[in-house]
Amino acid sequence: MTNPIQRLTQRRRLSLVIWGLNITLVLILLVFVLR
Amino acid sequence: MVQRGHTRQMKPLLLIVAYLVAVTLPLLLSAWVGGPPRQFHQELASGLGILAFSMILVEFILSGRFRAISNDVGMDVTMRFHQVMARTALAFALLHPFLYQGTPTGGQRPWDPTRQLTLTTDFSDLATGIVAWLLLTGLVVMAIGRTQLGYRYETWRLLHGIGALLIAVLLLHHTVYAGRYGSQPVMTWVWLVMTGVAVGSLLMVYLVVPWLQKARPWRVTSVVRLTPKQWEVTVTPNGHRGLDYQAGQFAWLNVGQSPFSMKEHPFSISIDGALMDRVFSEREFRDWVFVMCGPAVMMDVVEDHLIQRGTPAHRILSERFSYD
Repeated sequence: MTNPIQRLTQRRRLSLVIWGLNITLVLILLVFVLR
Repeated sequence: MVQRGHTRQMKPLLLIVAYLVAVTLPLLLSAWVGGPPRQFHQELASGLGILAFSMILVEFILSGRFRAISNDVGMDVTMRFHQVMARTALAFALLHPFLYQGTPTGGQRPWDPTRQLTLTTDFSDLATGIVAWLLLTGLVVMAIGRTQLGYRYETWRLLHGIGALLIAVLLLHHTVYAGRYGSQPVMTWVWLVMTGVAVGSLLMVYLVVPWLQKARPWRVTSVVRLTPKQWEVTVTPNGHRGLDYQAGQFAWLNVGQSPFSMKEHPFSISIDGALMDRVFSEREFRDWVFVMCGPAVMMDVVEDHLIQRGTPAHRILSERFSYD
């Protein structure tokens, strides 16, 4: 079976990566703020 | 082949991890060396500022002219990433000054060595931040609305580069002199090195690479007008081995100007016989059905190459089109 991420178009994959990164950055920011 | 496929999947993942490390390193180091935390909104304000600055500095490396980064992933992907992450950085930067509200000002108190309680009110320290804040907003808005602005691409690119350079230098000053965390010696060094790399990458693209290109000139050997808006340009290396390329890649050609000129033109590298021999085997030339489309003159050239290599005419299906 193909990896579901590989079945997405390049644009959707990039959009997924960017969303993931933005959420990660906000979480790291929260760790910094609430330390 | 397996190794190559594996590397192709690893490269984006490596880049994502490298991006996260580079962008969050100043924030994590600040937490480590910067003294006790302050109230939630003040820490959020500083955290947003720190993240925005490091994201802006990494934007320089993602500006699309470094093959080490755009190879495998594709320049269109790194460019889109540059554009979208710039918007996140702008959102963080826009919020940054407004979250300090209610913090006592007037500079450092003698009983507060880690600057936990107050903000600076030194005008020059704040002014660089304010100017950078305005410039950054202008830079992103001008980039999003570039086509509506009516500037020539080269003019816009030069303005974008100079604007980015100014923002980086102003933010370095603001972060180190106005920032509670940036004023820590370790952080001052981190910001200096990161800004140095970012500014260095810009100088590399605008000055060092053109200077190196001067030593590797190319000669235009033919120019053919394919359609009213399409040109085929053949160039040959002049005194060097040339370029290892694949079909579909593109090159920025700077023709008839100084290598330092901003006037460059993107040209797709088209197909030639030697390239086709590298891509297809003898058996594939004979047995495959070739389905292709493109400008008429290009199709003629590719068909000739295929026929010379033994592809029967009934296995070549081509569609000719024109852009005009």
